[in-house]
Amino acid sequence: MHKSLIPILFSLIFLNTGEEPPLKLIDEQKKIIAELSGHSKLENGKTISSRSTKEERQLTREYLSNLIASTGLKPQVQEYKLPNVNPLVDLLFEPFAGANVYTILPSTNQSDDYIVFGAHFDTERNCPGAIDNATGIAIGYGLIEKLIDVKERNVNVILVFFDQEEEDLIGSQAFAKKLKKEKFKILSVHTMDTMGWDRDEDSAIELELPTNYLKDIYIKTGKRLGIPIYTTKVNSTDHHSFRELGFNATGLTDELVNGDYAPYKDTAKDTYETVNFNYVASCTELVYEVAKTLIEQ
Amino acid sequence: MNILKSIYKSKSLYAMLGISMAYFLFKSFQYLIIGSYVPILFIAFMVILIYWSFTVTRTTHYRILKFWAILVIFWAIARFGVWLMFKIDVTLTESHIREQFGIVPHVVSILMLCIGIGILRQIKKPAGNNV
Ligand SMILES: [Zn+2]
Repeated sequence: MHKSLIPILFSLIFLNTGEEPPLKLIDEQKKIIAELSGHSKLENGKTISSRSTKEERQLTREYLSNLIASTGLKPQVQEYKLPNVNPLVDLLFEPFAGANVYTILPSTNQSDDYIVFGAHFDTERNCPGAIDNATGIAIGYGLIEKLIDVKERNVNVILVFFDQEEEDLIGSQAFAKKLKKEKFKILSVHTMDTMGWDRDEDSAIELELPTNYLKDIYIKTGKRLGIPIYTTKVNSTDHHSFRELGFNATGLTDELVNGDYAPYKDTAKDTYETVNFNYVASCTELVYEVAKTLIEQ
Repeated sequence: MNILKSIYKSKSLYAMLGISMAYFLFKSFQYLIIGSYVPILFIAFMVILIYWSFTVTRTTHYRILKFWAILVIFWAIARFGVWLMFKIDVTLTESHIREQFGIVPHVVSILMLCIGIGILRQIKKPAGNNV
């Protein structure tokens, strides 16, 4: 067949069936960030303008469950109640209540080992949270989409979207407790937070408090992809909850310490328009390559 | 002091005491289930203290009930105070506390405030009317 005929034929097939051609991954990620940050309406006509109140977080959980289901994996919800950080507050008010959404991508070769990738889905009040942290969700989605296609997986992968990170990392604490209580064999935990800003366009990321083992893998992979990796000691996000319980955990973020970080984080200006989608794509690639190395070992 | 006799003689006082203690006991069991021990330690201390106070003089007994009533009043006022703080400062970020100020929590606060004041008024009545 003549080469120029192929795209014409391809588009004719879709015209005939009335179906849209499948979106490229980056376009899917754009759509996810647009919908999570209220830039676009959801398919059910609702809008997620912020992900802070009980109702907003419930709507977001439904969205995330559908997102997971769209990959063919089974969405699961972990509901939890945790005491307040200060026990005196327990005397006055009700405990934290929320729910994490997660899924498990099983290994293709029998294994009891797991790797966890996570990103929080909540925001501060009245914040669209496009970069913080719809980007982390979109990267997690991109990662799982790509991992599904890896033929030989020697390790199970958990993808989890945490609730209530903005309130003392409550969701990730609840999930870390669950993994520990249920005696999951966790090789490593990687949390992604605020990965959509890259003004200097160097694609660099910061790796927070990695063990030497994880640091080596990220740096080697980064070198291969041309992505600079800087390590920092920042512990104010979800990976902290896992390290507290003895897990091998690290966090990924934009250049927070280096100064090239999302300036509108936790404000009403953290909108879809400010997201650097090339950066989201390169972060997805990095996380995927690292995950691939880990699951093929 | 005979406990049953005392309760029988001033039913409304002990009904208010019972309701307020039952509420805090219930709350502390909820917290115990999720791993927070402070509320149950606090309420257990108060239960023991009040139980013990029945075995001593009426004056001491009333002093301890007064202490409980004041705690309950403070509890209600503190909740209203925090609610006001969230109303005034809209930038406060603790969403899960902010969301606890619906109608039911306010009714509970008002009820506890009334109970606290009620207990204080009852124990101020002339002794003959109560015990
Ligand atoms: Zn964040």
